[in-house]
Amino acid sequence: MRPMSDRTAFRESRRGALRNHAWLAVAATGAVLLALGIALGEPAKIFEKATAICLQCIGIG
Amino acid sequence: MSERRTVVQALSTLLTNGYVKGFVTGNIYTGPLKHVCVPTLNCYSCPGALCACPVGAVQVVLAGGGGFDPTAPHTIWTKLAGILSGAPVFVIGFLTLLAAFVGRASCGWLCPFGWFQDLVHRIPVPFTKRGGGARGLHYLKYLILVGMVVLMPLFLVDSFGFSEPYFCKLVCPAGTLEGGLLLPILQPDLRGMLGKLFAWKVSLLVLLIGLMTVFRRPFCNWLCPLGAWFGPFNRISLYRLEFDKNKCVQCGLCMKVCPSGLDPVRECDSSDCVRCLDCGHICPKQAIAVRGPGLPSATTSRPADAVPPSAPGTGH
Repeated sequence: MRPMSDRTAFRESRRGALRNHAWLAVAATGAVLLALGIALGEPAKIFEKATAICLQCIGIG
Repeated sequence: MSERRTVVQALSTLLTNGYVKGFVTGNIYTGPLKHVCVPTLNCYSCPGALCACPVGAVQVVLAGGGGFDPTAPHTIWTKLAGILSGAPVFVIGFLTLLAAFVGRASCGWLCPFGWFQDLVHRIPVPFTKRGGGARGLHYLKYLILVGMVVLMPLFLVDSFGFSEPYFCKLVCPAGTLEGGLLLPILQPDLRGMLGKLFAWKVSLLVLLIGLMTVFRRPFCNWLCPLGAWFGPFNRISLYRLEFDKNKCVQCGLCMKVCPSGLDPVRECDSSDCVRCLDCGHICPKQAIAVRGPGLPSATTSRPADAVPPSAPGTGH
């Protein structure tokens, strides 16, 4: 296997570092959206729909 | 690993469908757990379902009309609140938060319908195909996510501004299996309502079951919108698969067991990977492993030189 040049190695390590921290940004975004959804009362909307049999969903209605 | 995963899948299925009374009376659970979603495809109209399905929840929130009235005067903040109040941010936030940690692992370890596909694939048939079928079909799930889960419930609306959960209605085989087949048995009144839609959905389920015997996880690979959402996070999740090229002896065993037809050596962080970890388990040199906090870190070792063991069976 051909050895990596310094520039390629630098790019690889930078990409690795970005990937290592990207999850944090994604997790923070998810947490904010989750909190926002709770504040806007979305679980109640879901509850309302999920507690009635959705005949269309199961191919009956 | 495979046996341990089967146990986890069975427990997950029992836990998320643990409303035993529903299987007796034909009524669904209406308790407080239905405020939240499971991270898997699990129809909330199933008599046993204890929580909501995220794909169904996204559609019903979008289909229910938002709080944004474009004709009314708004400040930027009220506009934003109006749009957000009609967007399924709670479900998206939940799924995103989970995916940030483990990517698509819930597909491989928790999904009841994924487990069902794994079980059906064990039925012996004269011929099977390795992996997940034609690669082009894998893009279909992204079209389904965007088209049927988001755009159709948003824009195909009736005169009152309401829409329908089109993916559930037209495609979802989990709903047919868990609710559509069971409820008419438990509630005789429903039998008179069975029509063309029911025939379509049962036909689709039967076709998929046939495909499951030949291919591994055809629904996950080709059609599942939840997998389409989780998949891209495989590349950046906190816990992810890593391949150590110094340990690999290029035996190809990992490729043979991958349910998505991937070559884990080249694409162990692919969006199609369901994180079943079968590749890491079968690898004789532990060249593929989950990395993340609390787990052994990747170490550069000397190149492997041992001859790998012969390939064990891949499920048949």
